[in-house]
Amino acid sequence: MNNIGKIGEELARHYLSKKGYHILEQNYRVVFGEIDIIAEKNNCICFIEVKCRKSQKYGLPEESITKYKMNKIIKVAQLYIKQKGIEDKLFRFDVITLQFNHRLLAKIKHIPNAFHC
Amino acid sequence: MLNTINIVIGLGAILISKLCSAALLGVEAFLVEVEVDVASGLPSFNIVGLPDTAIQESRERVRSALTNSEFRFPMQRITVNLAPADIKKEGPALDLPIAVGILAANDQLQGFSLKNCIIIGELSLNGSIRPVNGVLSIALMARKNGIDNIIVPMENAEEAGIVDGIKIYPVSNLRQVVRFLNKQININPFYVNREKLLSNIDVYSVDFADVKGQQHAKRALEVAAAGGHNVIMIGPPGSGKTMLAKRLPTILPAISLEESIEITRLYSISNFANRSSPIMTRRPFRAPHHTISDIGLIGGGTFPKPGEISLAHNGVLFLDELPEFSRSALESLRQPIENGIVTISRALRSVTYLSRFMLVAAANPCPCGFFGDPVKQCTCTSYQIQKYRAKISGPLLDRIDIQIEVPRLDYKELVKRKNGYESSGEIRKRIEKSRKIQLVRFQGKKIYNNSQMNRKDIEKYCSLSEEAWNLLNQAMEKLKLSARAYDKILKLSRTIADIDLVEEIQAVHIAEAVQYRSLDREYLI
Repeated sequence: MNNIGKIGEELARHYLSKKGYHILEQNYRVVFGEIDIIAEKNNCICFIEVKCRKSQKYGLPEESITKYKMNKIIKVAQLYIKQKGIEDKLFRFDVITLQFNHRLLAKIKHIPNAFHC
Repeated sequence: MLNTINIVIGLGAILISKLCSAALLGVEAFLVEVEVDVASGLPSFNIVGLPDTAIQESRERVRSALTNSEFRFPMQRITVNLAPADIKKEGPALDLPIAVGILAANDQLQGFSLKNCIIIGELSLNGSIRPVNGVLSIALMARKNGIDNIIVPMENAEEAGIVDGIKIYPVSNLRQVVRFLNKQININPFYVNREKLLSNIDVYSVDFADVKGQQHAKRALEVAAAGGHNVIMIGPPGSGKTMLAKRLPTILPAISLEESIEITRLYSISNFANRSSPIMTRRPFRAPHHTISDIGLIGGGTFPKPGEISLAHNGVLFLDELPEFSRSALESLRQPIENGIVTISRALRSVTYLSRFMLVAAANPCPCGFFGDPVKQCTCTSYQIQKYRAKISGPLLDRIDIQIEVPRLDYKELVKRKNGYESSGEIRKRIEKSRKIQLVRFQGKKIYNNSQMNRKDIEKYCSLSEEAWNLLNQAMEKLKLSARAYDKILKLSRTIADIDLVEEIQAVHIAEAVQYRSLDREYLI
C-alpha cells in the first residue's frame, strides 16, 4: 500500500473535519471503483478524490485525474446515491491535492466542484 | 403560449422555466421554445432538441458567463429542451435564452414580467453579449407571429430596427438583461429612422467619366442597368472591360426599402454583414474570382448557405474572364438566371434563396485575346479558339441580352480628351427615370424591370411604330436571327425607349437593340 497516499487521505479527512464537513465514508469501495472520501456539508454531498505527490517531476497532482478516473468516480457516486436513497440532495465532486515536500510537510489544495457529469 | 417565462413550481425542488427564442432555417427564422429544468441529481448539464455543435458548446459559455456575472450556476441536473425538437438548430444565438432560462428555473430571476418576448444573443465567457446572425429574419418572424418585444445584442439593434411594429431592446451583457427582466432598470426601445436610412448619398471613388472613349460600351451598360439586362463584354486585354464593370454600381438605380431588406437578410445569415453598417444601403456588386466552386457560386453546404448569386441579389454579379470559370459552375447559373431563385437541396434540409441578379460578364475573344483586333495579330490556332469559346455554352449565352464588343482604344483618344465625358451622376439620373416608368408599368406583377418580362408581357407592352416593324423584319431576315433573339431585341428596345421616355418603340430603338446582339451576328460563335 502506498504510504504517502494513506497519509494524504488522513490529512485530507482532518482538513475537511476542520472545515465543518461531516465525513460519511472513507474509502468507499465497490467492485468497479472507489471514492476516497464522501462528506456532507449544508445538505450537499461531496464526493472527494484525494491526490498526493512528492515531487512535481510528473506534473501536478490534479493533472493526473483523467476523464476515465472521473467517469469511474461518477459511476460509484451514482451507486452510492441509489444505495442510500438520497436522490433529492445536492451533489458535488471535489478534488483535494496534497503536495509533499522533502520533510513530508504537505500543501493542501481543495478544489470544490472540480468536475461534473 | 408566447408568455416569455412561466415558472412552474412542482413538488419538491423541481423548477421549470420556459422562454421564447428563435433559430434560422435558411433565410427564414422560426420560433424556438427554450425549456429549462433544474432537478436534483448528480450535477450535469444537457441540451436536447437537435442542437448543433455550436449549441452544444454553449454549455461551457453559459456556465462561465453565469459564474463570471456573479450568478450561481446550479449544482444540479440541468436539462435544456429546444422545442420543436425535430428541427435542427444551429448557431450560438441560443446562449442568452439558455442562460436566462437557467436563472429563472433556479429562482435567481424573480420579477419577470415581460410578456411576448424573444431573446437572442451569443454569450462570451465574461457575460457580455456578442452579435448573432440573421437578426433581421428573426425580427420579421417575430412581427409575423405577433410578438411585441425582442431582446437583441447591441450590435444587432439597427438591423432589427428596420422592422417596425415591434419593440427592440438592445443589450450588452447578461447582468443588464437580468436587471431589465427583474424591472430593476429600464431599457429604451431602439428606434431607427427608416426614412433616413436609405437617403444617405452614395459616394464612390470611381466614376464613368474616368473611362476614356468606349461610348458604345458605356451606352450598352446604361441600357443594361436601366432594364436589368444581362451583359457580356468581349474584347482584347486592356480595352477597359473590367474598368467599365467596376463603375457599374455608380449608375445603378437607388435601392428601395423592400429590396434592401431582402439583401440584408441574405447578408445577415451568411455572416458577411458589415457590422458598421448592418443594413445594405446600396445594391451589391459581387465579383468572385474565376476559381470559385459551384457551391461557392450557387450556395450550399450541410446547412445550405447563400452563394455569390444570392449575395448579388438585386445587384450585379460580375464574372470577369468568363471562359476561365469551371464549366459546371457556369452551367449551374442557367436556372437561377431564369427563375430569380435558387433551391438548394441537401440531405438535411432544402432551402430557397432569392437570386435575382444582373449578370455582367467579360471575356476575351480568344486565348491570346487579339482575335479580330485591327492592330495586333492573333496567334491562336482555330482549334484553340474553338476550344476557348466552347467553354461558354449556347444556353448560357442565350440568357445574356446584351452582347457587346469592347474594341481596343485608340491611344489618340486616350491622350486627346482629358474630360468632357459624361459622369455617373448624369447617367444615373436617366436610369432612375426609366426605372420609374418600368415600376409603374409592372405594378402589381411580380416583376420589377423589363428584362423579367415574359412572352405575354412583351406582346402587351412592346408596341412598335410602323417604321420600327419594318426595320425589325428587315433585321430578322438579313441577319437570320432566332426567335429567342427576336424577344430579346423587343425587350431591349423597350428599355431603350424607356430611357428616351417614349411610349411607342421607334425605329431608332430597334436599330440600337439589334446591334447589341453581336453574337447573333456570328462574331463569337
